[in-house]
Amino acid sequence: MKTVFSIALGVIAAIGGFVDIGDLVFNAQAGASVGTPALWATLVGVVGIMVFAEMSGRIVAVSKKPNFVLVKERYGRALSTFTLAAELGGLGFILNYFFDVSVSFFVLVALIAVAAAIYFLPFGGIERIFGYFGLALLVFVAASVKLEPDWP
Amino acid sequence: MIFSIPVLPLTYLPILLVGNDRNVMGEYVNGPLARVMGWAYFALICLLALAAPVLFMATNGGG
Repeated sequence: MKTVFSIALGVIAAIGGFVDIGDLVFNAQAGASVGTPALWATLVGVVGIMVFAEMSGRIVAVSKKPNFVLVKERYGRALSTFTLAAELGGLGFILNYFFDVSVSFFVLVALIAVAAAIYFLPFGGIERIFGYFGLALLVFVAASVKLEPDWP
Repeated sequence: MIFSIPVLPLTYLPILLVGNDRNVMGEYVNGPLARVMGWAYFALICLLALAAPVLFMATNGGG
């Protein structure tokens, strides 16, 4: 029974991780600004993320380590530091959209948040918690019913 | 979102290389399909990573 539960949790976390907020926000934004002629790009993107997610998931399942650690081990610190810096920069930009203080301030906030998550949470915890956070995007399902948009 | 495109190849390539590496993956190494699709999409995102900043500038931030 415990196995069933952990598989169920894994499936939920995987859905939360796969369908992330960017898919919903930016697809909706792109749809609103350019309409259906760009719909094909969604298909290209979905196949792409399937290729990547399958590969990434298989690697984690085999190595039992977060991909980031594996990358650091095999390709050195420089590459992962660069990638991390870029991701923190991105997070800083996004947080600044919401609170509008300054980008560099939020890069620092993002750094602290990510460092705290890595320090305090075990790998499994990081995986699950961020997966469940992803489920917050179900709010879009509720919103799309409640706001009764003008479906084409 | 636009800012995440130029870094995408950097995140993607190491994963692809590990996936292709039999020493790490053993019997679960990328098969022919995962290999072909993996490299095809790597080429695509490299193209996008180069195009995104140019388009961003050319269109004044997409406006």
